[in-house]
Amino acid sequence: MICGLLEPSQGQILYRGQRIDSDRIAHKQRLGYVPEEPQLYPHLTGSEYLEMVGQLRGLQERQLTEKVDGFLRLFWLYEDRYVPLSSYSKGMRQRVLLAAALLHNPEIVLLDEPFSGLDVNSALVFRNLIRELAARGKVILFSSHELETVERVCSHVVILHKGRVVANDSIEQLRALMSLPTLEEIVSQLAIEQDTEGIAQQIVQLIEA
Amino acid sequence: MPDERRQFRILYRNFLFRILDLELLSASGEIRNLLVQLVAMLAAFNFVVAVLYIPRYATSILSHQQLLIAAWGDEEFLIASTIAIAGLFTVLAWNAPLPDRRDNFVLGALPVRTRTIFVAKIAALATALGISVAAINSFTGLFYPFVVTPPQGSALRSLFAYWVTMTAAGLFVLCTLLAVQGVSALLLSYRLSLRLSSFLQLAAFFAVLGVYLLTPALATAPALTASANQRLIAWLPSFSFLALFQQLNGTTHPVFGPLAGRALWSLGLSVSAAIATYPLAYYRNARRMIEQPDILPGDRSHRATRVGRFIAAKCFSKPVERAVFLFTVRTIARSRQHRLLLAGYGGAGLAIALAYAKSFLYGYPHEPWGQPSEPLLIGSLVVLSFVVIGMRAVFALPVALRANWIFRIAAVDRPAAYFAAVRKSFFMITAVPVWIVSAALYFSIWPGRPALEHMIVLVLMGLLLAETALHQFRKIPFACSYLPGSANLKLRLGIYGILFLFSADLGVQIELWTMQKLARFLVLSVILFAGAIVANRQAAGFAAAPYSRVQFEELPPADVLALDLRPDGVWSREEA
Repeated sequence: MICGLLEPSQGQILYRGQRIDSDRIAHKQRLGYVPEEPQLYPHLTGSEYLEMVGQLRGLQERQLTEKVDGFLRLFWLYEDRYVPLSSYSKGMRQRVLLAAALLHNPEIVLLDEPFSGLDVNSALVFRNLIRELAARGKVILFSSHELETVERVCSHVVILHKGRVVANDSIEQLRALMSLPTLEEIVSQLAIEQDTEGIAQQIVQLIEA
Repeated sequence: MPDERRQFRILYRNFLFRILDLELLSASGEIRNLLVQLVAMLAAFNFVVAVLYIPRYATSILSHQQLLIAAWGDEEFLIASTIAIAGLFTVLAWNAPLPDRRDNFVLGALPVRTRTIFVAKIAALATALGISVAAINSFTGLFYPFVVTPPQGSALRSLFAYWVTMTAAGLFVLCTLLAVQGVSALLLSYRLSLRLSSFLQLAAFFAVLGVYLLTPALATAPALTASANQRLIAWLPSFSFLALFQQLNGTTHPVFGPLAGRALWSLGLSVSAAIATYPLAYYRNARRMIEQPDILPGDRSHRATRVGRFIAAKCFSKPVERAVFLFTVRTIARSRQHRLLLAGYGGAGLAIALAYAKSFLYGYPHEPWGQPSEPLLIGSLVVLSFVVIGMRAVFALPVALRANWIFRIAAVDRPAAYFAAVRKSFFMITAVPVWIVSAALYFSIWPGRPALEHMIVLVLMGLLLAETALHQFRKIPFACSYLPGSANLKLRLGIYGILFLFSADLGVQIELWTMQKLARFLVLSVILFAGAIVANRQAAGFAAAPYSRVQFEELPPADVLALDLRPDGVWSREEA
């Protein structure tokens, strides 16, 4: 819905006090999005894909060439720039997606599980990149189930449970309020209803049946 | 160990419905619909042939002996049609016989023997071929053998001869193409054979279609015995299988003995070659595809890529136009299904154009090359039309559909900009190449004026056809879903193409007439120009309309028509 891919059934999404659907094109111009699933056109190369995204976003040829080359180098993809995306590993595809999302210098960056499949080195770089972008005034919306990463990267968390907001505060504040040391424990307290150990035992019994 | 027969039945059913190379289709139900449509089309074609044949034989004044000889041409046509359909079926199912990477990963982890998978694939292939051959002979196969029963023979023998011949002809094509694939898979490395495979598929397609449409009418006693024709007849399988049918049916004409022997010899050779190579290739590929990636991590920095980028930079001023053009060109160049479908339309157009120019091909032209003539005029028009219609059909087929989110997210221009980009790309990759090749041809063989006049007609017709083909087209090529049943669209487009063919014949006669006087030609040009302008205005009006949106989902026709009333300036759900 924030990306404009889905229509909200009710409610509204505001950015700087304005409804985002009041000018969809302007909203898309300021948004960069990394989806959870790295769905890319497999027959294009990494370089061609970034070139296409830049062209769709209206970047001029010279600026685009410089940016594409720069991103490919900094994301360790330059050597494989002429290789089709179908041959890329999951981590490489994730890096292409991140480059495509940042190519046009967006104001809002929406990251849906961006660390999925990334190697340790890339993950460290991206963690710092997110901090750096946030420090420069970008809005980073980071969605993840990796709570350790969330704890390290985010200043503010929203915990959703069955479509409803069950917590919306800074991590420090939540820790203090709930008197729990980690985000994982806070989430288990707020959003997990099942007896996880019991379910695990049932699965083992079913396997052995 | 699980029951092997049960496994075979499950796999057989699965492979049978996946026999055609149709990964771009989204739901299994659609493949089923499409297969049923294909079979119905073949049966309908045969029904038309039967309707044409029955009165001809029923009202013939020839004696039975003379009728049997006069029927050779029809028999050759039926056999050639069976060979063509079996060939086209094998081309469409090109990837089905060899092991599939997905099958290997899914079935490899299950307790299923490779032998069971192999046998299920063969059985599915044989069933599908059998259905195709039966469909293309469904009506003639029931009445024709009784018409051509010799005086000393029996109707049952004729029926047997007919179906054995048709099955043998179909088997011959299937085994020949399987052997070609088998040999390439055995001799070449896995990656090279994969790369070659798509070219072989295209070559086989053109060979099948070309042979079918360009085979001369030689099924008469003098033509079959003429020494000048022997070399040609020896290379055309429809004549050998005609001879086989005649021998099986009990005809004793001396011309058929050696030809029937050739049919048996070629059938034996192709079956033996397929048996010798295909199973080996299957087992070899099954092993290799696990170890090596399916799609080549090849280097795409070569010249063709740079040429595409150069054309985009020179011909398209806006970034979005360059994006759409390059995406379109790269997809067609790299997607086997899209390439094959486009080649199907283009190849059909080219073959029909060549069929018109048959007399030139066989060296006895009735019309001189150096002057405008109907066969030469119609050729370019037919090719142009088929390329335009084919590209329009190809545009509607998605590639990696789930990746189309990027077009939605990065849609930072007004819809009219995307429609203009699609339209420009369409012209650039359909009409412009045909115009260039045609101009080179006509200006080299004709004097300046007629060549220029025909090129003017061709350009205006190209504009008109392209605008008509893209009428209310709201999609970015290959980025919209493909709805079950939308195969009807392709069918409709095919029917329009055939209708066009009939009208093209008339149109070319008018063009030839107008080329005799400048005033007449000017009137024709003005009419075509006006048509192109109207079509262009309509397209511009549609693009600029406030409700126009780029379409990413093909929607089914509504069962209930909603009035969709809303306040001014509010989008309906469908438009949003």
